[in-house]
Amino acid sequence: MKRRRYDIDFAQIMPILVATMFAAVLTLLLTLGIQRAAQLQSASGALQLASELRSLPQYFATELTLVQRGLESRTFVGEPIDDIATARDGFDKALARIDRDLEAAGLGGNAEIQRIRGALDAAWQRYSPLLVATGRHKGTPYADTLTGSRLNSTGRALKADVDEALAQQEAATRDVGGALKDLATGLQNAVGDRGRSLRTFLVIGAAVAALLLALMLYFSLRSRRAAADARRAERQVADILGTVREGLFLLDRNLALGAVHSASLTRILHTEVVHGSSFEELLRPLVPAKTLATAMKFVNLLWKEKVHEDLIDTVNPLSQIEVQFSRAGSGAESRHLSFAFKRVKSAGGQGEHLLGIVTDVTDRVQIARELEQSKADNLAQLDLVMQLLQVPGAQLQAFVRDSDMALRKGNAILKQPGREESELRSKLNGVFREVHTIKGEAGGLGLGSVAARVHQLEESLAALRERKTLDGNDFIPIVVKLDELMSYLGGVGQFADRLAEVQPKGDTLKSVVPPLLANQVLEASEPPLEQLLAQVVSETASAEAKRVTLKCRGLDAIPAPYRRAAKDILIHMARNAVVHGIEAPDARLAASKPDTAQVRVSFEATGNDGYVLTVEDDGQGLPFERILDTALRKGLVSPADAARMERPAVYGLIFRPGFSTAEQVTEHAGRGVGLDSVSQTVRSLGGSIGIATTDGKFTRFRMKLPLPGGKLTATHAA
Amino acid sequence: MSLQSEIGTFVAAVLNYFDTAVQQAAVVGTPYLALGKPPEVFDYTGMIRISGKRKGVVYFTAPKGMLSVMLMRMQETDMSDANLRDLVGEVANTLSGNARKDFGRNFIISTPSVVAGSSTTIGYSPDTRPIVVPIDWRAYHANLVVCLN
Repeated sequence: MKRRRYDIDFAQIMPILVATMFAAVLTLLLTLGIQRAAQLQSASGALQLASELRSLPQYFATELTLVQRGLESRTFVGEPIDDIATARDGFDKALARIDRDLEAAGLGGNAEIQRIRGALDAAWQRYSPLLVATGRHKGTPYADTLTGSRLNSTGRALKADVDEALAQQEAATRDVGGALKDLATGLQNAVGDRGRSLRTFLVIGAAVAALLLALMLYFSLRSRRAAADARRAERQVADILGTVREGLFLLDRNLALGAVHSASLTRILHTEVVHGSSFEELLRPLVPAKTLATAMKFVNLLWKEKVHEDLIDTVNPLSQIEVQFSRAGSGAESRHLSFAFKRVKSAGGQGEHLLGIVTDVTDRVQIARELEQSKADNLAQLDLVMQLLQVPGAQLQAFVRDSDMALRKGNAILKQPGREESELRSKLNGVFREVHTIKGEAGGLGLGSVAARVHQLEESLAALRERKTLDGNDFIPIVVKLDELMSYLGGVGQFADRLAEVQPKGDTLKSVVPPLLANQVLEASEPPLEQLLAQVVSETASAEAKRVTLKCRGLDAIPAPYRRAAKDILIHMARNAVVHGIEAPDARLAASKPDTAQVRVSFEATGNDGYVLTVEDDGQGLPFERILDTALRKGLVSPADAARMERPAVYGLIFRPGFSTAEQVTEHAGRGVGLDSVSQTVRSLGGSIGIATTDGKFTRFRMKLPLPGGKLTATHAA
Repeated sequence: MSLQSEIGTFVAAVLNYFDTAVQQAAVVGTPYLALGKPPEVFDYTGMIRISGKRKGVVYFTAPKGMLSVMLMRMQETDMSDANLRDLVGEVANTLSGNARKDFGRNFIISTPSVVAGSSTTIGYSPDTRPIVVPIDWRAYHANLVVCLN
């Protein structure tokens, strides 16, 4: 059985012990004093009786003389005889009272007193029978004769007894009176002793009471001083807890929160902290269930004495956590919190509590991230410079110009009025399309750093697209990233301008990096689209581990009004063809196809009908089943509609915003933006898109564009 | 604290003002960048200037009609210029209070100031692109402009 330890604070109980001890002594003294007072009272009573009895022998003598003379003069003697009898009884009773008083006065065992008392008794026993004899004669003591009255026999007997008593009177007076005198003296001494004893007790009692009072005053003063110190300490603790920036709290063995905590705790945790509530409940809204379970195991481990708290601190799951706090009107706010725990040990070394320390380390994390970001930026800058050096200056300028235009268009979309859900989604898709176009071209130019930045913005846009409801607040991160991207591209633009100044026209900086396409002749304002597409296809194929060759025809003939649109369309389509259309080399070989695939792009005039822009790949064809499954999963079509849908309608689904059959989102695919963007661009030009595909053979997109200024009906056809 | 969180703080301050003082919620439109030309300034503008970790200006600008109706909602009968100035000043004061509370000591926030007139030019660094957050309330339209670098 486990023995329970009791820690005794002697300083605290000492006043109680001393007070109790002194009270006991005082009570004892007072009890003894009262006892002595009672004895004194009894002794005084005995003394008074003894003093009163001293006159009785003389009284008896007087009464006996009265009887004697009465008998001689033949007068009535009944009265003095009765008086003698009464006084004698009184004497007996007085002696009995004296005995009781002596006993009560504690003198029953006093040898001297008892000796005197014995002498008195003996003297009285000798004298008392003589007095008794005088009272035993009944009847008249006289007999009347002619010569007068004379004593009769009774009278003579009475007279004889009276004479005898008077004859013994002197001895009796001496013996009884002497014994009474001695008794009175002895009692007087006893009274004196008792009085002194009582005085001594009272003096001691008064001294003890005074000492007790003094001690009580001392302890009271000390207690008040201790209370004042405690109040001061309490105020200081309150000041510390009110000032300290960390959230401090205590946990008991049941992991319930203690009575006091620092004021910062409420501010840091954005919630009221209730005494006695569970730590688990406090954490629950802050961390995922898995982290919560691990955290509770960790905190419970700290109670085990054998566990080294500094060692297990390294596995503290709450050492740095990111939490979301809702803010009125502005969604959620992300903060980084750090929890630390320390055992709090009592004087005996036993763990009584855990001290929890929670700190808002958001600024620290932010600075660390900024430092990391700064390092990454520096590397990215270097990387970017290396990438930029490989792109002809004029082409880079054109990219920056087009990108800036796309971002401005995206911003203009945001600026448009409209706050209904559908309008916000339309804005979201619009911005997505513009941004995606930049990424495609950046990827094509080998500007991976730019593409990565755009990809980050796309991540935010994609996250918004997943939300069930949207409001204006949700677009704050988008506009901030848009601003950052514009700044970044501004820097690229400045670099491109400088590069264009030092580069020979149409060439990369040969002195630094060998030119990729040194044999091509580029015009400063319009870099060849074929070259750009070759880079797009090459970059994408490399990222997808595929082998692809690009064949272009007639792109130089694209009329000026369509050049920008054609570029956007072809970049998306070429990337799409490589990512979705072309199979991996192994799969191609398995299908008895050359491992190197072909993507063919052509532009041709069709007379008065306008133009046809064609993108064709010899890949796997459009996956009819997968498109339909994806549409069903995303809820774009109902099962009933799906059962009725013809192939052209199913293929038309791939142009829907956010539609993608890709299983994973990568930098090159998975957002479902590219074909939506193409569709929007073709529609905006008044054109239409046609699809032809055969499973395992090819996919061909034919985009009919009207003559500039004319309009065609926008339809999809297979 | 990121710029995104900081803008969130300002937006929350304005929305909270409408919720509590005006007792009728306002709606946030999609924010956008003011490119090419400065953001539109309405009849009354309450602003705070910020220095420290970031530098720039944050202001709430609203047309007179909107402010007048806001005053009516607040049981005010005095629609004088001084009272309208006080109202946008109060919104700016809320912006300042929330910023002081949320941003900490890395930010130095000026005393709110008020300017009147739609032709007023609010100065800001040419290196920054102001972020305009439309605030729609009833049929009225105001802007919260955050211009920080």
